[in-house]
Amino acid sequence: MAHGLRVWTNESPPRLRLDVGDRQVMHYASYAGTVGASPIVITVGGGYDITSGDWGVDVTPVNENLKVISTSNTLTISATAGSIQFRVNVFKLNQ
Amino acid sequence: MAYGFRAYNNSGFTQVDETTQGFQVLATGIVAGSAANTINYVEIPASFPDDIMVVAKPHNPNTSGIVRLIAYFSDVVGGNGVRTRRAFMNHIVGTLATGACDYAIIQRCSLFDDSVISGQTPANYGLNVYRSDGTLSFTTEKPTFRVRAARHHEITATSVGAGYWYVPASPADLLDTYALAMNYRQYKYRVFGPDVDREYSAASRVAMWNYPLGKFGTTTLTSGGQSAWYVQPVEKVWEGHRTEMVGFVV
Repeated sequence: MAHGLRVWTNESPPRLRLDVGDRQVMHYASYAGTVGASPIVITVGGGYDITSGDWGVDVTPVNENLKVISTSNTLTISATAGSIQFRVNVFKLNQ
Repeated sequence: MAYGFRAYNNSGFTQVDETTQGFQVLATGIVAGSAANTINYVEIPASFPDDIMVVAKPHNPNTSGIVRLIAYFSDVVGGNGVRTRRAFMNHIVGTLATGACDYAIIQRCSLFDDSVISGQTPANYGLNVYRSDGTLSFTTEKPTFRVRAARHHEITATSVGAGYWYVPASPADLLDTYALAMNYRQYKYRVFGPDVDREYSAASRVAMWNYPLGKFGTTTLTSGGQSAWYVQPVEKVWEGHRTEMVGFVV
């Protein structure tokens, strides 16, 4: 039997605002800066493992000269040309 | 000491508790359709938090075929020190990205406060769950981004993860499906060919709603020709693991 919390809106008819089948996206950390010739290594910690399916990462901007590589507990941000202002949001799924 | 309220779903995942915080909706709107060769945008107010995210879906799409979405986020501090944040988006009608989009800007729940949520009518109904530090973990007074599916893919020169990866319960659900709209745009650029005849190819990663088949996925758009950006042969790729998400805004 499904269990958990359901929340409906105050509309008529009501709509589900939170359902037991939803996957929750939970903020974990965000990082911003400018990367140039030298890569920036960020320790995310917390068991960050993007391949597990329990973590998410959002990288801004989309730029062919920007690489953001995830490894266990770490993000490595590098630019192949110039300097690039970046922002990375890390969040958890299925916590 | 932990205190408060916890809810877990039937998969054992946290829905609400005293330490985590979900993403809830700060603002919604429509980005108008554009002329060919331009992508319209919504300007993000300076008062909005640094780590907001944007989700979007085609506005009033033609559901007789596949509709694709170009959507990306720009966050730049100019030489004058002024920060400009814009969420660009248009859906592709035929071959041109000229269609309007519905969007929602989501922020982590702890950044809502009582003065924000008390503006509802009726005021202060429902459930507010606070974290141990006194900030909100969840409030019923703000719409949520209800994630229905998520995936990650490691983007490389040879793989962008194209394909369908979400099948909603019904066609109506697909119409209501928003996608994380932060980085669907050109991700790869290649220059090749002999010195006297340099050519380029470019590829964009975009979201696609296949209304006839009732599926959502990721696909690519390619272009190419002469007048390359670089003199020498090169291949540049926005590499690394990336997450895509879809869900409802309710």
